[in-house]
Amino acid sequence: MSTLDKVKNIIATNTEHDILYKKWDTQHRDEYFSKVYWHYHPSTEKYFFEANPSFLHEYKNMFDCGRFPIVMLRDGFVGVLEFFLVHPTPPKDFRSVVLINKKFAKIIPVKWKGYVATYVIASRGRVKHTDELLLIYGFGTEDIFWKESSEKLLAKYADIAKNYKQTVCLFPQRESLLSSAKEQAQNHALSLIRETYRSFGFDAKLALDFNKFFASNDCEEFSFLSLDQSSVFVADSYFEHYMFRAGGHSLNKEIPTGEDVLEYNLSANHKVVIEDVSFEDNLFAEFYIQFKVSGEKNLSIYKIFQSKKYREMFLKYFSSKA
Amino acid sequence: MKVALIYSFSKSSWFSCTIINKNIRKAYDLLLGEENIIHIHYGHNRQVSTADIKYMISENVDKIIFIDHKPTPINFLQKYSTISESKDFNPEFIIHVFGDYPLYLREWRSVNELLEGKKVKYICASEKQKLFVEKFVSQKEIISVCPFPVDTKQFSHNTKNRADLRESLDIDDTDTVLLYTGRLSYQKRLNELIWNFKELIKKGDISNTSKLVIVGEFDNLGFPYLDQQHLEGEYFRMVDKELSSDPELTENIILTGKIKNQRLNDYYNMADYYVSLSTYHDEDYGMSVAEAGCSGLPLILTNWAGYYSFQLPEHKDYCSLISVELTKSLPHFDNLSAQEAMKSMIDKDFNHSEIAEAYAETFSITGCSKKLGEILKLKPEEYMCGTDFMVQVTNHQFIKNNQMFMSETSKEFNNIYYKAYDVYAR
Repeated sequence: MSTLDKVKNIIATNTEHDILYKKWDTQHRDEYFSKVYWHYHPSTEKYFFEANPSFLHEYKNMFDCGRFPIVMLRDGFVGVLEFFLVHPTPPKDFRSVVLINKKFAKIIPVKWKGYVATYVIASRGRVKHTDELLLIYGFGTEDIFWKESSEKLLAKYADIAKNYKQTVCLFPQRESLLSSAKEQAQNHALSLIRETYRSFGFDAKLALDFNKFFASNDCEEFSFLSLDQSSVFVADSYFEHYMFRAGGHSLNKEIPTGEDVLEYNLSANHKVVIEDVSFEDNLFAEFYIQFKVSGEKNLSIYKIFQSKKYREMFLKYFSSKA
Repeated sequence: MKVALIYSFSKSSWFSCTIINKNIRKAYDLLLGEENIIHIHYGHNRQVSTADIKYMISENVDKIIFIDHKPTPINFLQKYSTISESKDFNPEFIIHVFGDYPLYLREWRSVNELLEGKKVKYICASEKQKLFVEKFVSQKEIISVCPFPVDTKQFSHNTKNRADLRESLDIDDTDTVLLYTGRLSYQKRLNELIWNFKELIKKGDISNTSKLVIVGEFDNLGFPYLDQQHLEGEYFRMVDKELSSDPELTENIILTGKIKNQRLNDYYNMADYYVSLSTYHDEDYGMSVAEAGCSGLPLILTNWAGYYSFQLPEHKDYCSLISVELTKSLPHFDNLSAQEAMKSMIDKDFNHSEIAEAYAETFSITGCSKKLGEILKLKPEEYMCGTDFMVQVTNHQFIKNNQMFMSETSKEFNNIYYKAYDVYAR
């Protein structure tokens, strides 16, 4: 049976017992991840899909993960890399199917063939582009500025915003909890606000609370664009689901998919597209060699995030333009 | 007669309540004249200004009328009790009751205490809601019924845009269209509606060109009484699965998403029938249903809670009601009965103008204004106390919040649920 057939069958028959977010007694892997999780909230907020969207560290360990027939990892680069570096081959007796965001398909080890597929969140093409309102959203965490400085980044977004009648910058303030202490002291969140005013002008409309913004604004026609086009921590953000459901038009970079895919609607305006992994131009070996050479024993998302070498490799292979 | 209308000047998060609030004010305006009404802001943050209360007292209003769904009058009355000292000022308190009444029973228990000895009237939106509220308020004679008004300037029979709207939805002029408008929520039973509609087509009971148009936005309410909170997108997935299970019938069912309120009348006039299989636990009324009736649509509804009031005594044929019974979880209706109700209504011819006129008589702002006039003239009674049942239920609510009706062993409904909600299923 092909991996896609497996995925199709599981999704068709999955009950709420097989969906992590329907359980009430779950625990994160550790307390620090819980802290990070809530810091990145609401991008980490739960949503429903039968393929069990969840973060790697929302499972205690691989036994926990293996309880579920299918796991759709919402993790970005650091979570996906940790998963495969620690498990370059599927653990013995591991029977689950794992879905990885297609952005990071190239770091899926070949040995996982038959156990993995990729997914993208995509528009259903029903909402037309509008220049009425542009919502730019995201957190001012360190990774946003890996590729370019806050000054250059916000200048780019300000340039895009010129094509819209109104722009709102939805930038909830968050610390960079994945960062080293030194980086945290840089206060990237404040830098984001400063550069927003510098690039957009002092009349820039800034909103710092996601829920309050949407509770007090009836956004009927809008386009949305994420500050985070790189997905270092979160690849499958709740922000996107919310904005699609609210009827927004996405300006985020879409990843093309093939023809032999599975598609499932998540709302009137968006869907998830699942396809088989292509192992062409696979990069896992390069990352694995780096891991082995480093001698690192207890790899974690925090160490990957703080590693200069992994950052360089990320920027080389995965960083994208807005 | 001079009255004070107490409500929040801000929009409610519950959209239908914003409309209801506006229309109730229009009804009072029509009844009493604007010059005899003072408006007092009682915000959703539970704040009311001392100056406003003093002004109200200085104006010597005859009646203080609460027309908003939240907050409950508790904070207002607490503040009022610290300010009002004159024995000469003895207004009547009138409270319009909304569907979220049971969610705030703890507060209503305190409201009962604050109102003891005062002249009080409760106004419920439907007959069955009245029966429900009677379980918590000991004096049945102080509870009246007046529907929430529909603005018939906005909702009336008018087919001028019918053809264009049908064309835009790819619906032929001869196609039979059943319409649902409202929240797309688990307890509204949309997946059952879609399933029953499809069964009718598959069995050949209705034409295979018939359409079911569903207007509204999905929510995540789930079933809070039984602690079944839905995740974002969960109910959409349930409905989408039902839609996708018969690909050949996909085009017979149209989900429009959210529509601007100003366009709703066009949708009612585009359709031939309004249908709702809702068994939402606090369906005190059904604003969408009232709007549909005033727009001239025959109604196919579950005989659940407030929907019962839409079967007009003089025109029972305009509304078909499907029996519902309480169960351990979702109230139950028989699918074959639902199909039979839809089929039999579709087989009949209706004069939409006459239907619109009949519903406007009762549910329009003018109609409700007359009803309010009758209620205001009723002899006021001094309020005594709440019922023992109120005490029993609120004791549960203090501990279990909105799972007060859930058994602590089986996660199904407990016996106080049946005692409270039996009147909704009769």
